[in-house]
Amino acid sequence: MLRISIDVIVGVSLAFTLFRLFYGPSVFDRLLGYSSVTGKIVILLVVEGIMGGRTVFVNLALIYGVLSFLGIVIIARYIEREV
Amino acid sequence: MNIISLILIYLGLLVMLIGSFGVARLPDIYSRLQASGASDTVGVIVILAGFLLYKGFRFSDSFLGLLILFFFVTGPIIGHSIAKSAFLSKVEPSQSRDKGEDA
Repeated sequence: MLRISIDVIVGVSLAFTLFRLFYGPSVFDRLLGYSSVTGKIVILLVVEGIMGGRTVFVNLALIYGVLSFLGIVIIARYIEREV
Repeated sequence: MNIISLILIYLGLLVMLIGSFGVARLPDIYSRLQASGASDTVGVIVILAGFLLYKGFRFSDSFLGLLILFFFVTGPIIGHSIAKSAFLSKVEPSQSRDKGEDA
């Protein structure tokens, strides 16, 4: 029961974020959408790891979080145009 | 499944939902950054704290503490780096006032 409600609520907030990811007028909105999707994916991984019984997913969530954090910061530096 | 973890998980989900709604609805990049930076970090941390106490604290759950520490450190950094790159690219905050003319 708790598992279903978590999935539904995270799914709804994921929908808002994906809207911003795809629609975002500027490239920074897309980067913002991607960083927010990362947080949600980490939550879903941890939920699957603890409630689904396979605790390897919690380690996966950390690795995914670290790598996507690096990607976000590097992309942010890359798209910086000193106009 | 004790009550504390239930409350924490649902609070974190609420914060995350409101933050995502803010990201979708706010007028320009800077206000969206404010919404997403704070709400993502807080939401993730509160949900992970809820999962810490889910089946009583076991040593294998200490990994969640590491995750909490990681998101506690890197959450603001993400928001800062995006805002800095947007500001340096001369992105103008929107001047639109809902009440028509400027005060």
